[in-house]
Amino acid sequence: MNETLEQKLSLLLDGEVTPFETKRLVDEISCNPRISSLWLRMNKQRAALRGELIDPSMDLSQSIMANISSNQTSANLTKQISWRHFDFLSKHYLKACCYLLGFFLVLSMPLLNLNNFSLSSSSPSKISPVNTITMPLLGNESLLVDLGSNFNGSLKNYKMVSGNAIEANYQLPGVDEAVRIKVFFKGLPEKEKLNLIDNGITFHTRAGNAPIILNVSSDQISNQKLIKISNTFLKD
Amino acid sequence: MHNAAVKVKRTTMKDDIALVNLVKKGDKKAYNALVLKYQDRLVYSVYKFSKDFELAQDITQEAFIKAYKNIEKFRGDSQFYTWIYRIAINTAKNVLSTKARASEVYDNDTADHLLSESASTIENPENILQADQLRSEINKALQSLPEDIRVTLSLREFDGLSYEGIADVLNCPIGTVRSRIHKGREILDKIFSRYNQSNAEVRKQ
Repeated sequence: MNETLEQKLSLLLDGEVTPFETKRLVDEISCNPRISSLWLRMNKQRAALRGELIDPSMDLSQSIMANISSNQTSANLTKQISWRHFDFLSKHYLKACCYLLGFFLVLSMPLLNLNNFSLSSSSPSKISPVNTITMPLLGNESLLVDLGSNFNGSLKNYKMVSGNAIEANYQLPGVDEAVRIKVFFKGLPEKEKLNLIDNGITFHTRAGNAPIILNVSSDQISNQKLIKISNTFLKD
Repeated sequence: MHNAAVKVKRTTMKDDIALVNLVKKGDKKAYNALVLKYQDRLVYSVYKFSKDFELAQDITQEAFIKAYKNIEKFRGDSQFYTWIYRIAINTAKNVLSTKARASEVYDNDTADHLLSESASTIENPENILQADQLRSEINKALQSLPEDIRVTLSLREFDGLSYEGIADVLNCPIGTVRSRIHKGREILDKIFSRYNQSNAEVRKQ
């Protein structure tokens, strides 16, 4: 029986099994640690034969599958948060608004000299117009300190992760836990935004009059606690 | 010979489609099998692109996560690996350009830091050495296999022929091809397991 299973696994590696057998073997790989280990070794062996093996002990599968599971949970929670705030707007309406807003922004950028992207009217920028999206945000450390005060987090450091996004790290008081917040300012292309928001809790809010998107994540804190932190931003 | 190669391609695509269809139905276990199947190959491909092993692992993880989220978009008109390879390389391009942009926004210290960070993770000598040793052991073992098994396994692993194609080339029944390939892998697996065991013992000491 076991020998047959091992042979079938070899066939699965070569794409020589039926869909039904594939399902059965997938279940075995998942449930049977010996078969799972053999499947891993078979693939490592193939990589070694083809000169594509860098680290024999590397296995990313657990981390990837855990991330997929936690992302699904986060996505569900994010959906709930979003709906709480936007359920009075239809999806089509929002889409149309986004297009119109984007169109308007593109048209108005030269006229407004991009100053409307600044979150603070104080500390005028000394940088050329092209960088006025970025630099007022970099200089506006007080905004990030303010964000941290929502959940008693002290700002440790921050960096630009793209033209219109900042990643800030905060330390929570009295514990060895750190929170990472990504702040996305309007004007960042949706595709880039999606590339950057890869985990954590994401929601739409405002900084003064400016709409922003916040993505709260942490390597040490549970999603439940992250939701609590996120909720502190959403309280009026 | 050419026809045989075409058959291989179709078979491989069909197999991945079976796994992908299971994933589309919500079977995460099937995706885990795909991750285990392609992780080393993808890390290697991204590593060639990024020259940074840790970064290559991060990008590979991200690519697998993105592929899972977009699995509905995989129509099966290319191999799964080709599809995820494209995702990984695009992710790598984004990450590297974001890094480059960040180093432009930051001062020179930050750029230096990024460079030194990259240099420090460009290779993990111990793991690379282990991989080299293992590759050499496995290849030695392959050369010492009985000729019929070695030829059959080589046609599969290096020439990418399907079982049917190998049977045509070697003029033998497909069942013989199956058993020879399995036998060859069994022998190589013993080498692999022995190697892993001895490495684990070294790590303990």
